Amino acid sequence: MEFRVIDTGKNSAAMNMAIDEAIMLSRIPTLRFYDWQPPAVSIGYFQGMTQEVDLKAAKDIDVDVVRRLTGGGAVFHESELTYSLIAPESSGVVSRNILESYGQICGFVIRGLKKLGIRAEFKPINDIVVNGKKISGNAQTRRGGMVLQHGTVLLGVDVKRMFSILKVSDEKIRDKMISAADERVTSLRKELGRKVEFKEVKDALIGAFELGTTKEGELTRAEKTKANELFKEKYSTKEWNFMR
Amino acid sequence: MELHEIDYKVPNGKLIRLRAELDGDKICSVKIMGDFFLYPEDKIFLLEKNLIGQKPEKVTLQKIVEKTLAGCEMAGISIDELVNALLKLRTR
Repeated sequence: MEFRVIDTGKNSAAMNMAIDEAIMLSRIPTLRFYDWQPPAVSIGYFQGMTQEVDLKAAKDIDVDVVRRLTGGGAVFHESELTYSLIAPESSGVVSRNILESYGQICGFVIRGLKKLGIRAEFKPINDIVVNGKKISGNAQTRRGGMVLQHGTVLLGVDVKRMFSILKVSDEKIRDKMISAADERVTSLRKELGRKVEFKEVKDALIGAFELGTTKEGELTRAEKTKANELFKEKYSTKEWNFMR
Repeated sequence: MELHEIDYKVPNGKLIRLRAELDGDKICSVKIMGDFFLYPEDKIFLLEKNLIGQKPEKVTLQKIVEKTLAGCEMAGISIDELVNALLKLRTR
């Protein structure tokens, strides 16, 4: 099976999620890379928006918010590379067993990180860690015989900024969480001691995904139309984002 | 009607956050939130609906959760842990 590789560049949170779903609906096997402009918080399908995000703080510093199609936790997207792998379950690329497939796809990311000189490990259920510190979070859904897994690789991280937006009610816990997060989260910049560009990571990851044949491509016209529709009618609406 | 908010961390798993309204010992509404994974995702709405009017008692909850989520896959939570979280409504 041939996989299309696309880089959709920087988009708003709502458009990024709309594009992922549009590709899943088009059923074209795809490895996608993307970035967020403005920075954004995405929350998991089951999470409560007001429980997880300090909306005033987010608005004050122009941070987008969006609910994902996938479960998992809230993520602050800034200075990172995001990938999505979209494939038919029948492609044989990923296991039909969901827990196993997390390990498999995260394994591709780990191979990519190795090319950059980073020794990372899979931490079930859905994390990738370097020396015990999280560098990548991943989330997956399955619909209509298709698998979609998207995930992040942190290029840099500002833990204080992250936790000024992700909600922690008690001030004391907040302090604890920031220091704990500092010890729990890392980035390519921290690990390699230099600035790492999006393209460098993307190039390392492309070859690391064991997908058979790959070919650079673009979104089809139909996908763009669908993405615009999903942007307008789903991911930028209060009904979706504040559903829980 | 009383509002109950409960956070229940599954041992070695994810966080279940409940927001429920109880009238006496009956569930009037409940939202089951958190950073877990459930496939297919929209089964959560059916579960929340099926819990309305029920008492948070182990046998009842176990039966409803098992029946509603039959065939679903989960990560970071399980049927038993969902029941454990919902049982916390009883002790409030």
